[in-house]
Amino acid sequence: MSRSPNSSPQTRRLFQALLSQPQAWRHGYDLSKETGLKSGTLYPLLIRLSDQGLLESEWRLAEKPGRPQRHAYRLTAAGVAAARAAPAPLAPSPKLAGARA
Amino acid sequence: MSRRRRLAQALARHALSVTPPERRAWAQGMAAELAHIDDDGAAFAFAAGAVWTGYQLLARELSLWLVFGRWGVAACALADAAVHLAFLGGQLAPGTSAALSLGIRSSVLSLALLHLLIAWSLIRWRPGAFAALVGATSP
Repeated sequence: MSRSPNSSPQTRRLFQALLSQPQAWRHGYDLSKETGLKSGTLYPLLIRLSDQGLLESEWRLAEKPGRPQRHAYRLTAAGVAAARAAPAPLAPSPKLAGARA
Repeated sequence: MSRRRRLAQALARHALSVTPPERRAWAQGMAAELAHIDDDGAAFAFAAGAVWTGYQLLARELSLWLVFGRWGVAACALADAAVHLAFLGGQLAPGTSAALSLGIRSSVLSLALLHLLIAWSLIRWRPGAFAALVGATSP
């Protein structure tokens, strides 16, 4: 039996983080800290979700003046539906776990 | 600027250079993110991930080309086999001895079968068999 393509624990953690603020544009480093995923794991996931039409990306102005634009990401409508349909992660993301501690 | 920060920037440049062109926006996004990471150690780790991501994307593209190449060579091998088989049905020059005719037709049939086997080894992806068969067809 084949596994659903977006059911890995890492993808579920990413879905959880993106779904916590579905309308907000999120940045790679912040997502990395929030999910506990290293950039070498996070970005291939983001790219895959983008290829599946579940994630959109765009360049956005930096909040802090004098810094370069940032590549930002958020779920599409299909992505929100897929994230809601995905099972919850087995372990909470580090940020959530820290908030509970 | 610290040594780690310089190394992180060098890694990000390297990631940009290895990432396939159609995916470069992602590598640029990772490189731009470095300017928003205040901690040098975290920036270095993030940039190392960018290199890893770049090589993953490159490997994916190369494996795609390998698939295309494999099927292309398999198609050529099948066409070659078809040409050899067609030749078997043709006439040899008048006066060709029966022994020579048998030898020529056997050779052509062998080559046709070898090319069919090469196509099979590529379609079923048997690299060892492919290498052996290519070696057998070489003069």
